[in-house]
Amino acid sequence: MKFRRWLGLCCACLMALLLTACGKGSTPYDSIVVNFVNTATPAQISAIAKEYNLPLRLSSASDFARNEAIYLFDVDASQQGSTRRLIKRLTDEALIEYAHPNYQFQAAFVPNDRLYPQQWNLRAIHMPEAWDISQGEGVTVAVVDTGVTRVPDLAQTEFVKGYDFVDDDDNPEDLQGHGTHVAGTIAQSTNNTLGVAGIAFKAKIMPVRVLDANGFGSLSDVVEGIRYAADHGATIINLSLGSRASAQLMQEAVTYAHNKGVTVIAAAGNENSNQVSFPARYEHVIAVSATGPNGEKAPYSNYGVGVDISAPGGAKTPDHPEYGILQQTINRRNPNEAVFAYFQGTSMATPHVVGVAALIQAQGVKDPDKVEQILKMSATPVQGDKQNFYGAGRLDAARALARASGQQEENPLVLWFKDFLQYLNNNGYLNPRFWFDGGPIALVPKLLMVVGGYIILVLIRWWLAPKRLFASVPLLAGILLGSAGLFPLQGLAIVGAPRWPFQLAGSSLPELGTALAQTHALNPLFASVLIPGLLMLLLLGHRRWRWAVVGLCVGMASHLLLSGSLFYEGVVWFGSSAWLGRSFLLLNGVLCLGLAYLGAQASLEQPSTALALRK
Amino acid sequence: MQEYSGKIEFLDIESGVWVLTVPSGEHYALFRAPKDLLQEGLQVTIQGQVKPDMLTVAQVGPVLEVKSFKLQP
Repeated sequence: MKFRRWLGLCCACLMALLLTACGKGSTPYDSIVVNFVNTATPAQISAIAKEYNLPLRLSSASDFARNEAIYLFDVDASQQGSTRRLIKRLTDEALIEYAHPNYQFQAAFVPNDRLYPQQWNLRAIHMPEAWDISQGEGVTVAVVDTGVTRVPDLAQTEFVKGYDFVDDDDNPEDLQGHGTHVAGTIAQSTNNTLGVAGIAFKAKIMPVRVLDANGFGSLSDVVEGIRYAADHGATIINLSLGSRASAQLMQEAVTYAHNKGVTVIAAAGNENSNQVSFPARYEHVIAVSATGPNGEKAPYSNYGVGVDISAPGGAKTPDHPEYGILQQTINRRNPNEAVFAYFQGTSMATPHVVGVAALIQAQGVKDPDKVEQILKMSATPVQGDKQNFYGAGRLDAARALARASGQQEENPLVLWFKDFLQYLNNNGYLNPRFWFDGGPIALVPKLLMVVGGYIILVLIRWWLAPKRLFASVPLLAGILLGSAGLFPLQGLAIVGAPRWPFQLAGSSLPELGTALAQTHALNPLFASVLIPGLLMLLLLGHRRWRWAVVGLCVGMASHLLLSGSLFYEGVVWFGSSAWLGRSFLLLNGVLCLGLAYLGAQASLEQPSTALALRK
Repeated sequence: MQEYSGKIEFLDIESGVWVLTVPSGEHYALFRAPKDLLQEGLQVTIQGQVKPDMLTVAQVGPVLEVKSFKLQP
C-alpha cells in the first residue's frame, strides 16, 4: 500500500513537470504574420494566398499595414508542427520578407512620446516591430564624444560611470550638444510621454568625453577614450567623429576593442567625398553613411571604399529642418538649457546602427563579427549602387532583430551556410569587399553574355564556313568588348584613387553610355547598332580590324538580346515603358546579328583575309 | 605656418561648424578661431597650421588652427 502511494506521488510529480515544460514552450498564438516585400503587387499577394490556400487579411486598417504589406492569417493552434513547416516555406518565398507566429503579447510597440510622430527616421528603419522583440536591456553603450548631459528626456535612461579625458575628471558633461544628441538617438527615455524616442532605450549609456566644447579633440584623448570604454564594460562604442588622417594609435585602439568583444561603429564623414574618414575606414569598424527621408544618400555623406551600411542621418533643406534627426540636447550657447534640435550628419546615422546593434546584443548575440554580419545581411540592399553609397544597404531594425532572435535556435554551421548563401544572393555573388567594393557585379548575366557571343560566333561559322575556323584575337577581343567588357575592373577600388577610370575600363560598349551614372539602365546611343554600324563602314576594308568589328557585332548582339530579354534593367530616355526599351534592345540585337553575319560573309569572300585567318 | 584664403561660412552639419571655404570648394574646420573671425561671408586670409592629429564631430575637412588672419580687400 505504501509503495503504491509513493508510486502515485512520483507519477503526479512527473506529470506536473511535463505539463509545466509543455506550457513553457508554447507561447499562445492563433495567427501568423506575413510581411511581403514592399514591391509586391496585390496580384502577386493573392497568387501566393491561392497557392498556399491562405485566408490572408491586412494586419490592420492603417496605411502602415498597407504600405508595408503586412498580412495575417488564422491557424489552428493545435497544429504547431505543420504550422512551423508552412512558416518555413513562406519565409523561403522571394516575395515574403518574413512570416512568424503572431504571439499574443506582440502588439507593435508605438511609444507615447509626444514628438515621436516627427521621428521619420525611426519608422524608416522599422523600429516598432523591432521594439516588440527587444529594447536593449542589459547592454552598455559607450558614447565617445563631446560628453553627455542628462537632459530631461534622458532622465529615465540608465547611465554608468564614464570619464572626461578633455578635463581629466569624472564629470563627462556635454558643453557642445553633439554627444547628448547622439546618446538620445541611442537611448532617449522612451514611452515617458515626453519628447522623443530612442532606439535601445533600456540600454545603459557610458558617457566618455574626448571632444571639447567646439567639437574638436586630440588623437590621444580619443584613443584613450576608446580603450577606457573597452576596459570598463561597454560592449558597443559609438564614434561619431573622425579625421582625414590615418593613425596607427587609433587603429590599434579599435583593434584592441574588437578583440575584447566590443562592436565599434563610426561615422563615414561629411565631405561628400569618396574618402571615408578614419577611424570609420579601419577594419573591425562598421562605417556608416547617411541617408535622408527619401532613403537616398544625404548630400553631405561620404561614400566609397569602407562604407559598410547606411542609416538615416537627415538631409535638411532651408524649408524643411524637420528632414533632420530630432533628439533632445543642450543649447550650444547656453549649456544649461535643454532643447529639441534637428541635426544632420553621418554622426546622426551612426547611433542608429549602434542602437540596433544594442538590440541585437540584448538578444544574446555578442560577438562583434556576428553583430556586424546580422546588421549587414538584414540591411535592404540598394540596386545599382556602383559607388558604394550604401554599403550592404539601408539599416533595417525589424529584420535585424528577427534574424538575431532566430540565431540561438539553429545549428551554427547550418546558420553560417544559410547566411553565406543569402550573402551571396544579396551582394551579387562573389564580392570580396576589400578590393572589389564598387557594388555588386552581376556575374551570371556577364558570363552568359560572353557565352552567348561565342555561341553566335559558332552558329555564324557553321552557317558560313564550316571548314574555316576564324577565331582570331581581334575577333575574340571584339566579342568581349561587345558582350561583357573587362567587368572585373568595375569592382576594383584602390583606396584614395577615383573610381571612374575602372568603371570606364570595365564596361562593355553597350554599357559605356551610362558607365559613370548611378544606374544599370543602358544608353540607347551606345546600346544600339549605331556604333558597330559606323565602325563596320570605316573598317571593313582593313584586314585585321574588320574581324574585331565582326566580333564586336557578335558580342553586342549577345548583350542586347540578353539585356532585352532575361536581364532587362531599363533604357535611359525611354521612361518607364519596359516593352519599348525591351523592343529597342531586341531589335538592335537582331540588327547587330545581321551586321555580324554580313560582315563575316564580306570578309570571308576576300581571299587575303581568309588566307590569313585560316588554320 | 601657411596662408589660406577663402570665405568664412557656418555649415549646418552635425551641431554646426565654422569653416573656411577655399576656392577649390574644400572646407577647413576652424580651430581656436577668434570671435571676430566668425562672421558669415567674410573674405579672409588666415595664417595657420593644419592639424592632422585632431578629430572633429563635424568631419567636413581638415582642421585648421588659426594663428592670425587679415581681411581681404
